[in-house]
Order: sequence, then C-alpha cells, then structure tokens
Amino acid sequence: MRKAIEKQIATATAAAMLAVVSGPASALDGWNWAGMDIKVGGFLRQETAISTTGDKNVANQNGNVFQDRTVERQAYLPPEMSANLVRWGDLPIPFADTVRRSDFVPNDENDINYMIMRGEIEMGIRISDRVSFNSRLRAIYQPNVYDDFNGDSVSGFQGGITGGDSKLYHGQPNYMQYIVEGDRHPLPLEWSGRNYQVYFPTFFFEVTPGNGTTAIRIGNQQIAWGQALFFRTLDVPNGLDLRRHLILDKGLEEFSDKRTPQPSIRITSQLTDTLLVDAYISKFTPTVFGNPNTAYNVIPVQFTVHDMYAKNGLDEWDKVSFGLRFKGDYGQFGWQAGAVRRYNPDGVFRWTESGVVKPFDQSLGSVGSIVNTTYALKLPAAVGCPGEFDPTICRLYGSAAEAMSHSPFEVAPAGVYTADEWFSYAASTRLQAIEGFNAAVRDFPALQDAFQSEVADATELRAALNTDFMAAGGSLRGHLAREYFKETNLMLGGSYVLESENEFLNQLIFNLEAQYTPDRVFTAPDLSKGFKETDEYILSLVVDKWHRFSNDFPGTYLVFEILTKNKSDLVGRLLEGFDGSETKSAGGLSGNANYFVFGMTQPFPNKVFEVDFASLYDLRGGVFLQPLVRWNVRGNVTLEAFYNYVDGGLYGNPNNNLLSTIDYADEITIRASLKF
Amino acid sequence: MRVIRYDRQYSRRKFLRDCAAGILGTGVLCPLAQAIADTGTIEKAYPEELLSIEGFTKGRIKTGDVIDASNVEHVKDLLEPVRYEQLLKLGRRLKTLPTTRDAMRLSPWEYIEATLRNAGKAKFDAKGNVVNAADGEPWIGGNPFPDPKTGLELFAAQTLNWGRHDASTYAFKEFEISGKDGKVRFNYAGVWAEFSPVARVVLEPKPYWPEHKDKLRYQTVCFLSPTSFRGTSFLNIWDYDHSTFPNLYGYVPEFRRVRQFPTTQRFEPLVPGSSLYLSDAWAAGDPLHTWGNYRIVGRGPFLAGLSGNWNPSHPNWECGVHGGAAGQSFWDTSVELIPETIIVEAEPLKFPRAPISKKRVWFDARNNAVVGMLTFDRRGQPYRSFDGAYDLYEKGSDRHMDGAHPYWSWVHVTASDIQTGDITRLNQVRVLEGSHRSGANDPDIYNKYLTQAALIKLGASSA
Repeated sequence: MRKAIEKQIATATAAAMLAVVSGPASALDGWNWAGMDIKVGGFLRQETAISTTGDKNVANQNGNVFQDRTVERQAYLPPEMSANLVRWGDLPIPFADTVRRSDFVPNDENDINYMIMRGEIEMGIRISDRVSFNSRLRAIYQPNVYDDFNGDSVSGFQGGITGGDSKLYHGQPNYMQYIVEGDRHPLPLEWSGRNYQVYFPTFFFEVTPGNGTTAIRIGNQQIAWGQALFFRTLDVPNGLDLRRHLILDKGLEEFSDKRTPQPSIRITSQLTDTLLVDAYISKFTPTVFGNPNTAYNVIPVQFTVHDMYAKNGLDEWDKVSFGLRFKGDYGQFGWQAGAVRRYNPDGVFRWTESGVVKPFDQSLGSVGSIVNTTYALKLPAAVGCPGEFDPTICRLYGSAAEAMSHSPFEVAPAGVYTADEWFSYAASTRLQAIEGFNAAVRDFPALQDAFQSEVADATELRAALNTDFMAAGGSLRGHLAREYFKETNLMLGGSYVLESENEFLNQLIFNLEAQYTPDRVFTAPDLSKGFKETDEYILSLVVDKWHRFSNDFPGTYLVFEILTKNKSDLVGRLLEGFDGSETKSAGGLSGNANYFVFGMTQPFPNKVFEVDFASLYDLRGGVFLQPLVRWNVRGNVTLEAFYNYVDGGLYGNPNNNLLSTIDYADEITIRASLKF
Repeated sequence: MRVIRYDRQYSRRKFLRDCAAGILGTGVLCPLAQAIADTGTIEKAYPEELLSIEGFTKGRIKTGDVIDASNVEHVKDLLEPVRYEQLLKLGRRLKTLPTTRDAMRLSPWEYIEATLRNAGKAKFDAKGNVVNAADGEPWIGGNPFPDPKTGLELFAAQTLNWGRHDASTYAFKEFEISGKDGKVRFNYAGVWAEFSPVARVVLEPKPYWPEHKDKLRYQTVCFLSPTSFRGTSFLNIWDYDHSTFPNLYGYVPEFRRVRQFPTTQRFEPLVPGSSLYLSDAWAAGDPLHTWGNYRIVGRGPFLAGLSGNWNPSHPNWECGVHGGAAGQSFWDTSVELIPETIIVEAEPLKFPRAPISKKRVWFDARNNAVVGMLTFDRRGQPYRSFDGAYDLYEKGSDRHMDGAHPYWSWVHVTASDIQTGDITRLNQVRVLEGSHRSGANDPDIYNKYLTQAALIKLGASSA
C-alpha cells in the first residue's frame, strides 16, 4: 500500500513538473489567488557521470580488490579448543584451501557511474507583507544504469545474506532510500524508493514581525554558516545527503544540494547595522550515506550497518540540535562567534550483534562442522559451569549458530573471505585490523564462546581469521551499529579585507575560522562499544578575491584555503586508524590532517561561458582536480561538463590520505539544465 | 513671416564659444538656474528654436512625428552615434513629444524644492567631499550644484543621489538581446533598492539618519528569476567619503550564505548574458573620486526621453518593443528636444584593469539628470551606449503617487554593446511577485533589502 502511495507521489510530481514546464509562460510570472501572490519556477536537469578509467569503487562487491585474486587459507587449532595450551597459528590443522572472491560474487562492469533526471519546482507564496511561504520540491529518478551486485546472486552460498535490512542487503542496489531500523519514514518530508527520491529541501513559512529587522523561518530548511567554501568549519547546522553524487559535484557549488534539510525554527535578526544574530533549533536529522553497492558508497559492503537513528529514539521530535551565532561586519573587518549543541549528524560506528542465527559450515568433515560439533559438546553454562565461565568447556547458547547471532559476525557470502582482505579493508576504512578483532572478542562474549580469543599480533590474527572464514564455509560479514551523540561546537571567525597598493594583493579577503569541540565522540578505530572520546579543533583559513588579469575578460574569482584538524581527517575518521595496510594493522598518524584547496572561476565576457577549476590537496599524498566548463546556452538552457581526477596514491601509504577512498572516481560529468 | 531673433546658429555658436573658453553657464538667453528659480520654467533661458523639435528642424519634423530611418538625418546632430545607427539600420523608432518646460516635472517635487532652498550652500571640503558649507557636515538635500560650473559638480550631484528620492525601490525586468539574431537570449527579473541616510528631504529624520551619517548610500540589487539565479543579490554600503570604495556583500545561491566580495569588483557582469556593471548604475555607479579627469567636452541640444514614457495601460507598466531583426530590440520610446545638454567625460583612475577607458555622459541642463552615456574600451573605441527614459508617472487620469505628488523616476534603459550588437533592455515595472513594488520613500526598504539579514531573506527559497 505504502509503495503504491509513494509511486503515486513520484508520478504526480513528475506530472506536475511537466505541466509547469509546458504550461503558459504567464503562469511562471506568478499569479494572485485569494489575495496571495504565488510564484512558481524550477528546472529539469539530466546528470550523467561516465567513468574514464573503468576503475571500480573498492567499497562495493564488484570493486573489491580481492575479487580476482586467489588467496591461500590455512586453518589452525583455536587456543580456546586447547585450553589455551597453544596460541593462534601454533598448530595447523589439516585444512587448507585457496579462495577467489569472484568464485562466489559475480563480476559486473559499469562505465556509467551515475545517471539521474532531476526536477525541481520552487514555489513562493506571499500570504501577507509579513508572512510568506517558500518551498522547493526536488524529484530525482535514477534508472538502473549502475548494476553492481544483486544479493540474490549469492543465495546459493552459505545460505545467502540474511542479516540487515532486505532492501539494502538482499537484492539489487537501492539507489535512493534512506533506511533505518524501526522507522519506515525517517525523513519527514521525503518519499523515496529504490530508484526515486522526492523531497522538500525547502518547505517553510517566513514571518517578519515588527519593524522587519527579524525574520523567523519555520519548517524544513537548510542553514549555511561560515565563510569557508567546501570546508565546514562553521557550517555545522546540517548533515549532508551523500546519496547521489557524493561530494563529486561541481566543487564551487559547494554543498548547495547536499545539506540534509531538517525541520527547524530559525531566527535571523539584524541587531544593528553591523551586527547580525542567527539562531536555530532543529529536529535532529542525520547525514545520509550512499547505500551499499551504489556507485559512490563509502562503507565497504562486507559490513552490514544497522542505523540506530530510530531504535535509539533519535527520530523523535524532541531530539533537537540548536545553535546561536553572532556576525559582525565593519567593512574591512568582520567577526563571527557561535555555539552549537547538536547531535553529530555523521554518527559513529561500533560492532553490534548480527542477530543472524546460522551455523558454521555443516559440510561433513569441514572446519565448520568441527566447530559446530565441538560447540555442541560443551556444557551449557547454566547447567554445568558454575563459577567463572570457561569457554573451552562451557557454552552460553544452545548452538554455535545461536552464539554467532550474538556476535558481530554473520555466516554469509559476500563478506570477508581472507585475512588479507580483512587487513586490506581495515586499512582502507581507517580501522585497526588487530585491535578491531580483539575489540569484537572483548565486547561480545559470544565470540569467546565460539572459540575466539584475543590475538597478539598479525600472525595470530591471520591464523584466527582464516580459520574462522574456512569454518564459515566462505566468508563472514561484519555487523555495525551506527549511533549518534551530542556534542558542543564552539566557533570563532574573523575576516579582514587587505588594502594594498599592490594590485594583486589589494582586496584579498581573509577569513580565519576555528571550531573547538570538547569530548567529541568518534568511531573507535577498533570499532569497540566504548567509541573514542577526545577534544578536537579545526582551523581553516580562506583567502579569496576577484582579480582582473585582462581588460577583455571579467574578473577571475580565486580562492585558496587551508584546513587543519588535530584528531580526524576531513570526513571525521580518527587519525589513529590511519597508516594500515594489507600487511599491518593501522598504527595511527602523528600530527594533524592538513588540506589545501584552490579554486577559480573565470567567466567569459557576458558570462555566457564560464570556466571553473577546483582542487583539493591532501598533504599526505592525495589530490583531487576538477576542471569545468559551463555554457549558458540561452536564458533557460545551461550545459556543464566537468572532469574529476582523483589520485590517492601520489606518495606514501595511500591509506594515509583522504582521497584514496575515492580513487576510482575519475569521471566526466555532464549536466544539461532546462529552467522554467 | 516670423522673425527669429536668436537663430539656431546663435545657440550653436554660444555653446561652442563657452565650451572652448571653459565656461559653463547653462542657458542661452539668461542663466537657466535663475530662470527656473524665478519662473519655474525654462522658457526665458532658451530661444524658441531650442524649445521645440519643429523649431530646431525648421519644420521638417513636427512634434508627434516618429523619427525613423526616413527622417533621422534631420536630427543626426541631436543623437549620439549609436542611436543614429540604430534608427538608420535596425528599425529603431522614436516618437517626438513637446519639450518639457515646467521644471517641476523634471525631478521629484521635494528634490526640486530642496534644490531651490539649498542653492549655494554646498562646497567641496578638503577631502573633496560635498558638504554643507555652513558646518562642514554631509549634504542636506537636493542638488548641491544646480548651476554647475564643472563636470565634477555635475557628477558629484549625480553620485550623491541617483534616483533623487530618499529611498527608491525599482522592480525591474531585464532582457538580453543577441546581436546576431535580435532575439531575447536571457531575461531576468529583480529588484533594485537604494536608500540615503543623508541629504534626506522626505524621510525622517532629516536631513540625516544620525546613526548612519557616515554613509552615503545603501544599495541592493537582487534577482528573482530565473530560478537558477533567484536570490542572487549584492549589497553595496557606501561610505560618505567620496574616495572610499563601497563595502560589497553578496548572497550567491550556490553558496547559500552571505559572503563579502572585493569592493573593487565593479566591472563584472552580474548575471549571464548581461554586460551591465555595478559601475554603470546611473552613469555614476562608483564613488566620485575613484574616477577622475572630469571635463566638459561639449554642450548642445539633444533628444532624449523625459516625458510620455510611463505605460499605465499595461497593468505592470511594461513597455512595448520594436525594431531589430526579431522586433524585440528597442523599447517604444518618446523623446523630446532637450534645449541644452552638458557633455562630460571622465576616466576610471582607481580601476587599473577596468575594461573601459573613459565614459562620456550627457547631462540635461534643465535638471542635471543623465540622459545618455557612451563608454569606450581600453583602446579608446566606443564600447557601449546607454540611453533611457524618465517620466513623471501621470498620464491622463492614471497616476502613481509618491506622497502628495506623482512619482518621478526612470521608465526604461537601453544599453547597446556597439562591438557585438548585443542589447540589454531594462524596464521598471509596477510589482514583482506581489511584494517587490516600485516606489519611493518607503523607510521599510532598509530592513527589507539593505542589510545582511535582508539578503538572507531574499535568498529564502533558494535555501
């Protein structure tokens, strides 16, 4: 029923857009109805991103770096089966094999990463001189051009994937839906399905009481704070919606269609000629990541994620974020100061119980059958194990399958198949391979119950993991919970306009912005339940100006930015989880994460053509370059083409820089817009 | 036979003689300012041949005739070269109306009253700022130099108060016409607001808003359509010091916030397809002393629109168009013979890479209003030509009031890029979206358009 309603909404939206596009021009000029002035406008845009290298997203099944690699596995006697007389890796047992992922997970090719049709309708209604209503309806349709993986295709192995939400993990990629456990409609003004998304990024009433110095906006909205472009030092009120083209759209467009709208009350008041105060309170709305096996997914799909937004009650209307900002401008000087108390919308991840009751491999004579049998032979803890629990002789559950359901691992295909893959993906996800395993063992007694024990080094971990994967009959999938925590952001900013006799230096605008967040909660690099709590500061300096290089061309916009963070990278991954590789567990980085941005826009005469360039340089060896050409063909037609070049392996360990995560995303994007 | 006492050559000789001698005394028969002060009209200052198009053309063109390719040769001397070419080759037409002789119809009523009341009270101080001579404070209202002697005085008055109201809001529609096919390639709608905290003659407190006495002007331009530019706005805050660049803040929809822009960014197209710069506003879009070498280079009669152009027959005051390859290039315009214009040139001294090297501006001697502008590129070649039309907004029984008197303002502007043939047309319209209304002296426009909070509000639906 609900699906039918959503389809009807999508169909009605498309029809409304077509009606507006094809309607009389006078309708677009606005009209008066019942004393209210109504204005409607919008655009249709086709967006296509084509890979220029054929590189695949390593976070997805098809792009897995082990997809076509054959890796040897050897099983060992678990210490817990030997009353801890041996360590992991001391005593091989006569089970060894080789495994290649693509023998289980079929390959697929994708040259087109992204193709959507976007339509937006904007409506403004002036109800009175003091009250208006503004809305923007955004509708997006993505056909099945990106076919990465179908969960059904592995149903013949290990009983298939049964954990997690079926819409995300059991079938074809779900391009658009934001799915959390316990709430079928987590975003109040969004209706989405596998291929479509319809929502209101703007849907608010604006009231201007008194003398007009104050404006109050009530409804769904986005709030942008700060002067830095791309760097979100002060831009903290909203999370990001990364479902569509991640952060790979036009760089200088910034996050204009990425900030997740949230129901809010915002009050902006011009206290004096030079002082602005801006306050808001919002229903907490999380950052939305791309779904598993969609083109720009960032969470490796060997993980199954349980988003606890609803289960932890954070989707309730009384779970709010709020903030206050003052902004003063005195011509050459300016300042900002603000404080925000919010739920960090990005969330943090930890191991969580899979809830999947599935035994190890039950084939006769297999490693898994030995584990299942040995487990069954143990004494039930409640019956025969008084006193201290001894996992060698006691068991907590009725079967190994039940034990595994209380662990963060699911016996299932399309997970991690080898210790090499575990190390590699821990490193690329900025997690600690060894500590991550140990944290799972520590935090989940069920794992100890299933003969797992902490390891001391990489050799022991390799032995433990390969034994476990062989016991599983292929691979194990890891289950993560995504949770959200409150934090306080304290922010300061200052601006200065340089006046100089030197033509180039004259009118350089400097903006220095700082954010300090005490006790920020991060994903622990070992995914432990305790997370990682530490103070973080972010400093950014933005220098921009318009400069005329020639008499014939309009001024060139130039922007140069530096950002430094002391605890995490640009997207919030703790630096402690960096510097891992396929052969070693992450040891962490000392010092800060530092980034440089350079961007420019050069309009041609009359602005009919514009050339943009944006770049991001990670000092630890990654670079992103984006040249763009924009052609304003006519008043209502615009064509844009931009190329994204990403190299996360300039030098050093690729897992030490931000950009190796999207190293695959060399692509040309073409956007054709029809405005109305 | 009527004997003409002062024939056309007399006027011409006087204009040339005075100009060559560096003398600027407006009026031919007597000082114009004196004639206006004494009688409220200009008739005593000019001979008959400068008071009607018939007189000037010796009857070849009569008031009410339309000037077009067939008869433009008779008024070639009254036109700048660009309009002449457009009339001759592009089908442009100009309807002729009687010369306005009543000075009270050539500016807002209160502005003229203040001009007469404050005549002789202005001076330039040591910094070159126009001040009230009695106390050295900012100017107190009206035209500070109603009897101008220099080009600088003309530009000073123009820069001090563009729209001649204490506060003005112009809802406008803008059309960009391609020089290749004469079709409208881009069109925009927006609102322009300007607000004077000094030299106020209507809004209380007068003559200054004390807290803002150090400012000359607040001015915002905001685009409402098309959708992709909706909410794009720029706020200029002008210091009273005539040498200081305005602070420039902008709301760009892509950034979703107000950002500060370099103050020198005044020669950039604001939106695609447009060649209009902030610097072009009212032919005096930059602080007075950021330009220099003001010099009078000519005087003489001219044809321009000062009356009969407001179109109340259209519910939104939209004017008709004609001419060009697609019949869309030019506004339907009525012009009258201006007995005397003063032609002043100036150079952008503080803009080292400005795309233009100088501007030539025609001022109507009757009201010192700008009636035409021609800019030149860096090579000294003619670049763009601006002509427009003003009006007192009353026609028959239709009136748009500004307090006790009919509204006086511009009606439309045409900017022609000589080198590409592209044309930009602007039309002041009654209202856009029900809430952006053209008009004058509304104190609420400060909070509605002229603060950073206002820019955020204007960008509302693009948020």
